[in-house]
Amino acid sequence: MDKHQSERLSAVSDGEAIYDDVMSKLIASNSEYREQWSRIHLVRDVMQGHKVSPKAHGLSLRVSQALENEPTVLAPKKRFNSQQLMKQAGGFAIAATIAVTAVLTVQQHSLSPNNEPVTVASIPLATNQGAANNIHTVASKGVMPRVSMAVERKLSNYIVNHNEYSAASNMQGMLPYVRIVGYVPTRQVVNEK
Amino acid sequence: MCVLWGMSRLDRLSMKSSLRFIVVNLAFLTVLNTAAWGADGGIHFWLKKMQHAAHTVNYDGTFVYSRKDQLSAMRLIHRATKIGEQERLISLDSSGREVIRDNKKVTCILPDSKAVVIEKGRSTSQFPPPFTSSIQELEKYYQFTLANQEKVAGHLTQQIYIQPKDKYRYGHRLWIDVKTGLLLQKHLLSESGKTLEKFMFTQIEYVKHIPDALLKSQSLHKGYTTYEADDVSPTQEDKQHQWIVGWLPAGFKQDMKTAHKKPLNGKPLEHMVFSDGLSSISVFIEPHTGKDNHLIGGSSMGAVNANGKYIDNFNVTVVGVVPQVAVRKICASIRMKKKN
Repeated sequence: MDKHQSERLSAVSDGEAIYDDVMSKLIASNSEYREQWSRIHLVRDVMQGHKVSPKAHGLSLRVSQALENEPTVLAPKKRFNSQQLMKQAGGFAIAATIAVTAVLTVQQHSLSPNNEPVTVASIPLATNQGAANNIHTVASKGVMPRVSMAVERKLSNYIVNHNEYSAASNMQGMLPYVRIVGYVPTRQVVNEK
Repeated sequence: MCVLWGMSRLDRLSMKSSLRFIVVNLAFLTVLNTAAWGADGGIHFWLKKMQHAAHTVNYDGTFVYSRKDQLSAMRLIHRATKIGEQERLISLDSSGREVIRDNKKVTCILPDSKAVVIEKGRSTSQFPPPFTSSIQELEKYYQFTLANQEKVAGHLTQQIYIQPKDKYRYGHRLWIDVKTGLLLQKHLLSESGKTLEKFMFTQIEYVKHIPDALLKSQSLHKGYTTYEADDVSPTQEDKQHQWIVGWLPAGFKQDMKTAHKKPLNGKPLEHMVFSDGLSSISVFIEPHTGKDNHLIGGSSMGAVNANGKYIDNFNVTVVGVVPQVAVRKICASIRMKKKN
């Protein structure tokens, strides 16, 4: 998402910029902006202490997404498969695994040294111990590489599992699950020195 | 005394008077601090009250959770009865995710991945647990301070600052409802005092009775895949290798060690959790599979930091809600001791 447009969207929501035709077209044409627009309004309503129905905000967005993604079909198709049941070995938090697998389809960003989001080409991660040096070298050139999707996926599982098992996160019972329910990870490799 | 030597009598009297003032005040502050810990309205009192409230209060509230550039709104419903506790956490955004938890199992409904995940065997003691260390023990590693009272979601709260005494853990700022003891707001603070994560109720209702319907998912689960995990049953530990964590920040002790198989791929995985009672880290060790999916070096995601390396044919990853310097030092200290 373009940072300037994203900021403009926030400004319009806050009444600091005008909702004009350009903004209207932007929101109508791009599902990412629609998602952000919906999220901004949701959080604003919540911050103002309004009771919000889970479906009120999600439904319109889901309908518009469904319409956008729905191909024109001339014959009716079977909507639902019979429910599947998969038994898993216990231990590792599988909710995390499933949730994170879904979450990871979001676009990833990396950060430049001045914390501005930048799009970077995927940089392959070496598989030997010298990889840490590669990371450092690339990072010192000014752009921090993002970790590969495979690394991201594995790490996300670890992180959410850590949250579920660690007592410290449980100052209030559901807090570890807050990270599953409201989770959109963006991560950057740390420039190690 | 050397400093006093070159001064006029007036200066010396003034200095002595100031010193006396400081000593008296220090004694006064010590008394205050002792009172703050023990008595009603003291830190210990508030933390105990918060722990108790988390298990016993019925409520239906809306909160926001934010970290870095991410903001989420959720609804949390909690019911405590004689037979136990039940909770339902619902995302208010378009994802439609929700988590329902009772004494026996946790059910995660994930519409975006068309999945229902049921996990059994999370014991009631973890729901939510008391501080694993005593407050007095924690005081060795954190400075606890009672701060002002202020309103959160229309309720008067008592603020408590928890500041780490070294660079290996984060600080916390808590807002505890004066009347009920419920934690209404929590900030996680970086080494420099910057807020890394926020959790805040924006609206909350305390109710005597919560109907069953509010604790049940309203989502249709047709076409969803149900994943079910039985009781947490650790697999056989790797008898050939023993792992040594050579360094941990002061006060960190092992909370849990388990060897299990990862779901979906069935690979063996060793998981150790270490905690000082407030901050915690996990160590994950698994055999290297030959895939390029292991983290080498450091990575961070908001307040969560990770650091990884290879040892022989194993992947080692340290993950924790602690500063990067802590996970890096711990990761560097891990070594393998081969058993005969």
